[in-house]
Amino acid sequence: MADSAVIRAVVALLALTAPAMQAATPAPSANAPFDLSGVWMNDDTLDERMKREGRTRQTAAELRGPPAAAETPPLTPRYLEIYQRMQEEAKKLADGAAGCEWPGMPTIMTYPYPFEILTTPGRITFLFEVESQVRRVFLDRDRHLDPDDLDPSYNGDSIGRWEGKTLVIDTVGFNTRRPVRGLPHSEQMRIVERITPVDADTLKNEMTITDPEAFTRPMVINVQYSRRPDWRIREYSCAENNRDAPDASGQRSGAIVPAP
Amino acid sequence: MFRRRPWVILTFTALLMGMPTFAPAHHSFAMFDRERTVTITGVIREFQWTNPHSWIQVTVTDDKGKVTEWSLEGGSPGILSRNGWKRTSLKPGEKVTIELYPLKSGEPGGSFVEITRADGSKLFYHG
Repeated sequence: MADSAVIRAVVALLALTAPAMQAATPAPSANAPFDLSGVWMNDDTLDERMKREGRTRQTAAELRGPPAAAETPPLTPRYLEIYQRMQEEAKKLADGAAGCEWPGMPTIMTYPYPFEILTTPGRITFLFEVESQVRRVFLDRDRHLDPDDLDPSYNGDSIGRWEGKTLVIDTVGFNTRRPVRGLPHSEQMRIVERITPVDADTLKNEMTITDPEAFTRPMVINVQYSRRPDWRIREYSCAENNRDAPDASGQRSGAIVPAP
Repeated sequence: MFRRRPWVILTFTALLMGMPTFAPAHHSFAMFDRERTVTITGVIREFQWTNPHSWIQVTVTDDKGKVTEWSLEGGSPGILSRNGWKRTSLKPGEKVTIELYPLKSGEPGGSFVEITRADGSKLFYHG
C-alpha cells in the first residue's frame, strides 16, 4: 500500500535524523505555563468591535478616523526630517492607492486579521492570515543572531522566554521599509512584547518599542486577542487582485479586471 | 437616491499621526465620499472573491437603456466570511440593490455597505 511505503520512509528519515534532533531538543513545550496554541484574533479591530456591538454601519467618528496629532512626533531631528520627506512622498499617491508590501513588525501583531500559534519544542510559531506570513520565536536560544547573520527583515529575529505565565519576546534586526504607526525607524529598533493570559481564552500583548537612533521616547502599543476555535486561517496574497496598486503616476490602477 | 451623512474628512495626516486602537487593513478608504451613500439597482456581472479586497462588478441600466458598469470594493474574503459571506454569495445574473459610499472622483464605483438580494436577504460590509 502506498500509505505504508510513505510511513516506512518517514520512519527511516526520523531514525536518521533522531540523534541530531535529540541534541538540539530543549525543554518540552509541555512545561509551558500557558498553552498558546490555537487561532487568535485581535479584539480591537473595527470589524470585531462592530460585531460585538451588533452594528453594520460605522459611526461618524469611526468614518472620520482619529484626529491629527497636534504635537511634533517623538523623533530625533534626523528622523523628523525623514518623516517630513515621507509625508511629501505620500502626497504623490492618489487617495487609497496602496501597494502590497508586508505589514512588518509591530504592525502585523495589531493587524485586523487572525493568526494561529503553534507550540513545538523550543519554538513558538505564528501563522498569520495576512500574506500567509510566518513568524518564528526561538525559546531555545537566549541570544540574538550574530550581527553578521542578522539580516534586516520585516519581522526581525525573535527570542522568547517565560516569566511566570507571561511570554516575553525580544525582537531586533528590522529593515526600515515599514513605518511604525506612521513613523520612520532605524535598523536599531527593538520590540519587547509581554504576552500575558487574561483568562483561558484571552491574551494581552504589551509591546514596548525603542529606537535609540529614531525615537526620543519608547512607544507602547497594547493589543488584546481572543481565542477563535471555530475560525480557520485562509490563504491570503495581496498580489492576487490589488486594483488599488499605484501606477507610475501614483494613481490607483483600479481598472475593471476579470477575477483571477 | 442620496442620503445625507455627517461630513467627514479622512486626512492622510490623521491616518499617519493617529494612534488608533485598530490598524486599518491594507489602505485607507479616503477615495470614497463617506459623507453620503448612493443606492443602485443592477445585475451582478462578476463577484471577485479576492485579496486584498473583494470587488463586485454590477451593470446598471438607466431609463433610456444606457448600461453602466459599477466597480464596488469591499472586504477581503477573510473579513467578509466572518460576516456571513461566502464566495458563492453573489451569482452572475442576480439582480441586487446595493447601498454604497461613492467614489469622490464621480466615476461609477464605490465601497459597498449593504446588499439586498431579490429574496430580501441582506449582506453587509462596514465600508
